Amino acid sequence: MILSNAKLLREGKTTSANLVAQSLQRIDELNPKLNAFMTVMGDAARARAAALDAELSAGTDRGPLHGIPIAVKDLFFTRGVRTTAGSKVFDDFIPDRDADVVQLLEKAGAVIVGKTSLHECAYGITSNNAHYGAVRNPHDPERIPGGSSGGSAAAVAAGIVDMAMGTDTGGSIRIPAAFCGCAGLKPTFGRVSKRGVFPLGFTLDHMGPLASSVSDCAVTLNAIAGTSLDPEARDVRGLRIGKPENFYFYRIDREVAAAVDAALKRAEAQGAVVVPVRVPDVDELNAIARVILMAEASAAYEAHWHKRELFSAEALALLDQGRLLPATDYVQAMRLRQLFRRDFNRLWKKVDCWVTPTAPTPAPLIGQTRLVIEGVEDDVRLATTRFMRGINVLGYPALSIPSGKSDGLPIGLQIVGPANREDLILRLGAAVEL
Amino acid sequence: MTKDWKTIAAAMGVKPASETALAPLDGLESSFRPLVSRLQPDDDFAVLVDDHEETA
Repeated sequence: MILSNAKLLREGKTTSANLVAQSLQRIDELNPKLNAFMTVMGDAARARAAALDAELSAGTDRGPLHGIPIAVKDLFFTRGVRTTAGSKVFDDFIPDRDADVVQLLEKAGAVIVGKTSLHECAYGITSNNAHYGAVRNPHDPERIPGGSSGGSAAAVAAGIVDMAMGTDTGGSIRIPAAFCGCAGLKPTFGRVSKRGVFPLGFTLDHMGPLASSVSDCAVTLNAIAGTSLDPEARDVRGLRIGKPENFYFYRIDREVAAAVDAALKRAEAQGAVVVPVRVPDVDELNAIARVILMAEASAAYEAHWHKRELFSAEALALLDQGRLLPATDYVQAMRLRQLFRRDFNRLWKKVDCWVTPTAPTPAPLIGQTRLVIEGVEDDVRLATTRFMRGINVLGYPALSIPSGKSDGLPIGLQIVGPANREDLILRLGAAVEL
Repeated sequence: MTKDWKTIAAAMGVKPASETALAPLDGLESSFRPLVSRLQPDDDFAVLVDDHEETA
């Protein structure tokens, strides 16, 4: 955890150089199996760690991230370091600037040890990348880590780093967090700068951490969003937690439902109040999400449509679908988005947050395209994003935390809060995380 | 098929990689189209504020 390593650093029991060396050693050992990293920045990380150790010894303390090894998804621009977006289109792209988030993390003293692998163009949830290989789940290498921030989740779950940055356009932080058993925070839309990050859905993209604990997510948010959250806050007395009666608890594995109920019991034992609520139609919201995403993603990649040989069949199919949607559908979807936001905002009069499973099942196998839940067969991508996409349309902050295991595989719980109330969902997450 | 996607694709110069590549649009069309009829003239376009981009 970031805070415990930060404490050891200040007690003189370790150094940034040691932490970075350990992290790089684990990459050497594990990356051949996991494929979690696209690029390892060993020399730069070692040099920076030495400089930060000297700084701390001289009395300059940048805060809890000072000297802590981290990773960033290979979607964030890093000056002078290849940034691929998991796409052959950008196979040799070397940015001449850092993403805002990278600048802020470095200003806070973090040491980037590498760039993590992802689903092609961040447009998918398996991280089974046709060009750069499948990323593997540290809990079972035959299974996906989730995506699109699969490498970031695998790097955290394998103990390589305490935090790796991801992005979330329709679940791409929360799904891998759930499948790999770590915490993942999608902050409120607009809370964290997107500048210097390859876009996918201009009005759906969110930048956030995948981390070994909820407190690590809070520490990171303070650095990248300028918040002043107490990373150790966990008082949930009087908190009204909505449990949706509709949609979210259908077509899910029994263990997943049981894990949510167990978490709610832990919250109640600490003084929170569980309130049954009915949410507006999420299937409809998901349809709106798909129209917006497909239109925006195809627009984002318009300059590269003609390079068809550089895309996988999966990515091409999605980009082609988006090209065929009429502009009027995009406008209508954005108008419907407003209606749904209004309807969902009414929930905040009754509850302070609501909880759902993150994904309906644990991680599927690599290459698996269909899954059956409660006798209903569904596409893996659509089933896995059912509880995710709508939240991106609404722009609310959402946190996935580890909430148990099913057959040895992690499962996640999602906490959704009102805009700009990350403090509240992090507090609940810290109180009930396993 | 809810729409003749093949013809629409040809008209727009899109050559799908396979016969099935556009199939998901059918499901989307049938779930999205009924929602559009709910819109009233006063229902405005959603604008999400991203301060970072606005102040850049």
